[in-house]
This record gives sequence, C-alpha cells and structure tokens, in this order.
Amino acid sequence: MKKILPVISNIIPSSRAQSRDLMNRFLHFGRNDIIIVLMLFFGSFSPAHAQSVSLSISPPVVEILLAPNQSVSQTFTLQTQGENILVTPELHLAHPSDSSGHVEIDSTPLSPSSIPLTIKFSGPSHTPTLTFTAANTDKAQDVYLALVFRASPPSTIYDLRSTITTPSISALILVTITPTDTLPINLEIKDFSPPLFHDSWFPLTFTPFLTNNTPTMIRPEGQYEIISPSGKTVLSLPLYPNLILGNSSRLLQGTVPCQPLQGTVPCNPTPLTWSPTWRNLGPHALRLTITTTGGTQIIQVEKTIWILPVRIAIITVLFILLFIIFLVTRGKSLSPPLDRLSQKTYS
Amino acid sequence: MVNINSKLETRNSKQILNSKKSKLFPISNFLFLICLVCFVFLTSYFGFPKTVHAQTLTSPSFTIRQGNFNMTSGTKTSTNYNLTDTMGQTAAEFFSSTGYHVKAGFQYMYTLYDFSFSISSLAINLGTLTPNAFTTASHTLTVTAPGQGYSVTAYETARLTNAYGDTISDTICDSGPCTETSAEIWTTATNNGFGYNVIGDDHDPDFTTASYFRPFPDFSLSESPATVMTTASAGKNRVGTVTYKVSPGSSQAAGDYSTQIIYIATPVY
Repeated sequence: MKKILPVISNIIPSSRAQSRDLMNRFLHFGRNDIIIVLMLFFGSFSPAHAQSVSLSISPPVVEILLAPNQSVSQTFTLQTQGENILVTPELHLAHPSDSSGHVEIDSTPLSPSSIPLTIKFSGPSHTPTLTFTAANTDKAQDVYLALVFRASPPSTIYDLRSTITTPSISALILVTITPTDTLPINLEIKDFSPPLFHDSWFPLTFTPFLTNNTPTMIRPEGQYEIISPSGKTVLSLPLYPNLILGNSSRLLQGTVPCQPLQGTVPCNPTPLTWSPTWRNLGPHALRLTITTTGGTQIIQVEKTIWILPVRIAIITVLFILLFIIFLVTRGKSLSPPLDRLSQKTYS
Repeated sequence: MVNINSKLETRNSKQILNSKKSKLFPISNFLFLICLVCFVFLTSYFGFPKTVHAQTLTSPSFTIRQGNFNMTSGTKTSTNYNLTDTMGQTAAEFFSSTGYHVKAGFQYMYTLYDFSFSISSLAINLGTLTPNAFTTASHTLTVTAPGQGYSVTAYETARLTNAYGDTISDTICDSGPCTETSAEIWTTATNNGFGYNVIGDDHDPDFTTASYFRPFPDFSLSESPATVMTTASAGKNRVGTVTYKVSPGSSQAAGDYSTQIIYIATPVY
C-alpha cells in the first residue's frame, strides 16, 4: 500500500490539472453550444422508438354452452412484455372465414344490443373476468366473439414523424345458447368423390369437407376406413375432432396415433392419406363415418375406387419390350452370313 | 464335293452353335442385372409408403402439459350412452344440472407454450422522404401458436397524413392495381404511394417475393383487415418481416406524415 500510494498521488495532481483545464474550457463554452449539445444528447436516442412488445393470452379459445337466463364467468390472462404498455380489452364479433378454422374479426367493437348475450367486464385489464348471461330464447343459437387486447404504446412514442404500430392479440369466445342439451344436427360431406381408378404407385389423398348446416357449432368425431375386396380393413384412421362453427365447413383430417402418455387427448391432425402396397389391388371401398362424441352415427358415405398398378405395368411392359429388342438386335449381330463363314472355312 | 460340303456345313453349324452358346452366357448376366434392377426398384418403391407413415407421426411442437383439465378431458367415447348432441355424457349431465358448460384452451388442454404475439418495434420512422424515391423501414412480427395455427391481420387507421390534413395515397404498385388483398410488383418509384410487404414464416402467399407490395386496408374507409400471416398448424416463434415502403409524388406537400397500423393475432378454433 505504501508503494502504491505515491503513484496515486502522482496521478492526482496531473488529473487535477486536467480537470482545471476542462473546467476552463467549459466556462468558455457558449450558452448556445451547451443547449445544442444538450439537445443532441437528449434527441440522439429515444428508447421508445426501438420498443418491442410481446403479448400472450390464456386461454386462447373458449367454448361455452349456456342455457337461457343462466350466467357463466371466464377469466382471461394477458401477459405483456414492454414498458408502460396500456392494454385495452375489447369485444368484437367474429365469423368463420375458411375451412381451416380461421376467423375474421369485425373492425368495429361489438354493439351489445346486437347479440342475445349480456356481457359484463370486471377485474383488471390484464386479467379481466367476463360474465356472460344468456337471453331468454327457445331455440339454439350461437354467438362468436373475439376478445381483443389492444396494446397501446406509451405517449412518449407518439411522434409526428413516425408511423405507430399497435399489436393486438385475441382470444376466441364461442358461445352456444340452448334451452336443452340436445342440439340440432345437419351435417354434409362434400368433395369426397374419388376417381374410378387410382395408380397404386401414388399415395391416395382426399380433402373432403364437412359442412354444418345448422346455426350451432358441433365437434363431431368419425372414422376413415379403406376396405379391401376381401373385406379386410386396410386402413382405419380416426378423424380429428375439429370444431365446426354454425353454417360453415371444415376440412376433414385424420388423427396421428397418440403416444401412450397422450392417450386421452386428441393428437395432431394429419391429411387423409393412404399409400397402397403391391397387395392392395382391385376395388377398394372408401368409407367416411361421422359420429357424435357419444358415438351415434350421424352420416356415412362409401365410395369405390379401383387400385391398379398402372405405372408398374407400364414399366414392366417397357422392360419386356426393351429385352425383346435387345435379344433381336443381339441375335442379328451374333449370326454372321453363312456364305462368308463357309468361304472362310473352305479356304 | 457334296459330301465334303455337307461335312463342312455340319461342322460350321456346330461351330456357330458353340459360338452362340458362348455369346449367350453374357445374356444370362444381363437377365440377372435386370432382375437386380427390378429388385432394387421394387424394394425402394414399396419402401416409400413406410416413410410416409413415419412422417405423419407425432409432432414435437405439441406436447401435453397437463392431462386432466376439466370434466370433458379423458376418453370421450363410451358404449353406455348415445347422445344426439355434440357433448359427452358427463358434459350433458353437467349442463342439465348447472345450465352451462365451459371448455377452455386449445382442444381443452394445456400445452408447453401459450399463444403469443410480439412486435419488434412499435414506431416505424421512415425518415426524410424524397419525391419519386423509395424510402423503406421494417420490423418483425413473431407468433407462437399451439393448437392448429393462427392468423395475423392488419389495417391502417387512415392514410399517411400530415398536420394539415394532406395525405399520401396508398400504393397501386407498378402494373397495378394491387389491392388490399392482392400484391403486385412495385419497383418504380414514380408510381407514388405507401405500401407494405411481408416475407418470412407463414406470410400470405400473395407476397411472392420482396418486390411484391400491397396497400393497407383503410379503417376510415370501412375496409376489412387483410391477412398478413396465416397457417393451419402449430408453430413456435414464427417470424414475419414487414417492410414499409413509401414514395411521395413531386407535388406532395411538405410535412411530417404518420398513421397507425393495427395488427391483430387470432388463434384457430
């Protein structure tokens, strides 16, 4: 310590001189220069401009079955990452937009009088609890809503030179109001028209749709089966229990076999594809069966398709032809003219 | 002469046959080769379906976090009941007694990750604009969606507007007109306007390349939001890069122009 201290003391006088020099320079600095420096300093970075926001919602989809004049509450939890983010929950009407389960959300917030539901918000904006009370009705009907959490950026970000982007995340609330536990069912299988023949070389894939002709949503189950000419089931694929909203269609998909751990829950959807083997030839029956969750058969469609080894047959014929051509050309080249051969031997 | 000739002919024909036999031996090799090719060909052909089946097995993006969530989780089939509705027996009984039934979550089960949406930057500063020249800025949208996918829609609250109410029109692209739902190539700066492009995961197929742009739907004109990212399968950290592009006309009034772009991420039901 004693050795170091003198060294430090040597530095201090020089640093003192430097600081005095800097002070003198600072005092000679013009007022305008200071203002400019300060402006540059504070204007040079605006952390809000680079601000990112992350939103996460749970649960993302809620299905509610509600009797008239009954109430049910559901709490949604929004998690945000980002400073000073103001969150505003809004309810919008949602409509099915395609056969893959996507919805289209109305741009304008919901007008409460337009639906047979009374919805009450309570709790903080990040974890609102919505209480739904169904109106008195004697027929089943659906209401599809989207709870949109709009993350408003902090006021510091508002700058006339910048375009502001507002991220929003939504949860779907799908409500069926029904006086009884028996719902109307009217389903129709569409686009399930196999061709007469199918080449066994290629996988057999179908994209049928299930149309729900009732105003209430349904989550049917079912089975896709392929039966060989001998009556043996060569494929049995359970259908993925997709939800079909009222007056909409949904693509029918199969269910991937579950892991033992996942045995009691629906697994991932997969296309209705079957790859025939060389034994699967002849007329095969394609059977689509739609059932309720309880197992009651709603609809069954059966079509016949001939599985033929078209490509294998073409390739085999080509091979035979090539072999014959080869033999013929080979035979010609191997048989020299007899007169030339006899002359050679004779000489 | 005749005898000699006949002997010679007999001998010659024997020689020819012998030579043919020796030449025919490679033909059996050829046949063997054909058989080998056929075997390899058929083996590979009949091997393909097994590969397809393997590809359709479980996805690593979907894992059960909790087995039993509510009363409808568990096996949904039973031989003891037949209902004509969509509910299972327990659900029907519960509904009859309470008057309500709620199922929450992606297929009523928890997954390892939640539905989330993030945006890399809230403010887009396009800087100082030059007439008939492109200015661009970009940021990223990131979506994580278990279940069966998601969609992100977007719209602008109004056109790019300055403090005096002057506006920069939405782009109609080069050969045009590109619309709110149909992107077109936009590379000529004299075709003035404001538009955007999205490239990355699950971007709308309309944006074929980074040169394809389209205008935002205008909320003030009651236009419907446009889909910018969409998929029908589960995905984690799906990133789309949004590029904003503007080219003002030479007669555009000077000033600071801005607007607000709203993005909404929605899960698949």
